[in-house]
Amino acid sequence: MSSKELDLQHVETISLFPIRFAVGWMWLDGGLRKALLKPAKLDPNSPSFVLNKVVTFLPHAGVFRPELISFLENPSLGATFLTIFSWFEILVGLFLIIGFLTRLWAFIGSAMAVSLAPAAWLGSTCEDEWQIFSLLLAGGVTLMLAGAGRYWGVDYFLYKKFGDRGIFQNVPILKWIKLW
Amino acid sequence: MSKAFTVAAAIFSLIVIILILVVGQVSYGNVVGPLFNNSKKPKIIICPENTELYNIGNSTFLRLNITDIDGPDAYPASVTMIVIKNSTFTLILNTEALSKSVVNITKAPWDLKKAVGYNNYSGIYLCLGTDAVFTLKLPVHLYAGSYEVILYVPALPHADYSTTLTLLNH
Repeated sequence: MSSKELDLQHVETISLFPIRFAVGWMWLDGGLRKALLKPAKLDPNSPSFVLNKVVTFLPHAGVFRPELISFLENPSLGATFLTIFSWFEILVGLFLIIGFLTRLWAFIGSAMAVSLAPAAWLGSTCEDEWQIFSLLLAGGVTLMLAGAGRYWGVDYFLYKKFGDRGIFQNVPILKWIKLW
Repeated sequence: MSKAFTVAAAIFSLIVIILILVVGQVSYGNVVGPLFNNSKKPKIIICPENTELYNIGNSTFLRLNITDIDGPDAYPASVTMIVIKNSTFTLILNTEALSKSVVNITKAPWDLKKAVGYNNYSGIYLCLGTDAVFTLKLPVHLYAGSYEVILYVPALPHADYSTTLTLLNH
């Protein structure tokens, strides 16, 4: 590969870092706020309990409405789900920022972004929730496909040590999905 | 770049495009229109099953089952005035009168804390998505007959929601 081609590749891959940081920080911030900075948000007995917010999703939640109501009617189940979700937000955010198993965590983040769809209709001054959902989904899928860009991330060192490898080398589809 | 990667990238890109457009169209009509935003203006629905006017002794009660299905999520929808009227009679309950009239509130099982209530400034209020039955003891005794009950909700443009109830003598 010529130095010009190499430069171009560096520009392309290093450009992924702002996306990694932005998407990662959105998730990390969401998780930190609930799980660490204000744990009352995960306490069913607190007025700050974040599940309360889910009530506002209900009117236009469509096919998701029964599941949302079952969570609301079982606050302890809802609290458990939200606690797990919050820690996943932290993990997704942290690992996207440091670039550790970026593809895997970006895939998980993309699935979590889709779970925001029942709230997409909310936004009294603009299309807030739909925009958040859209950009987190697009950012997540981009990182899932591209990986960390092999710059400024743990994946770069894993690549150097273990080389380019799929999740399972002998399984047809999984062997094409790269770990880093 | 391998062919498998190109195909996978195309499939996932297509999924992203479809999800963004479908959710945008369903939520705001922002692909082919018409544009709407259900999150702008409160909309109170009066549920007829649990809504009635009834007398106990010399007192008249209004049981009102309402739910807020549209509007902002950041603050509750308020009913600042209720008018009960027929061809010969009109009763106007302002915020203070509403606040004094409430004798019971039954919240939905999924209700959130502080989401439903009443005070002198807002009248009766409830948060987006929730559902509640307010029982009001009216300041006057009403006679049997048919009455129109109109709920006024501050909004631009003007919003009011009405139902017709029949008061029977018990």
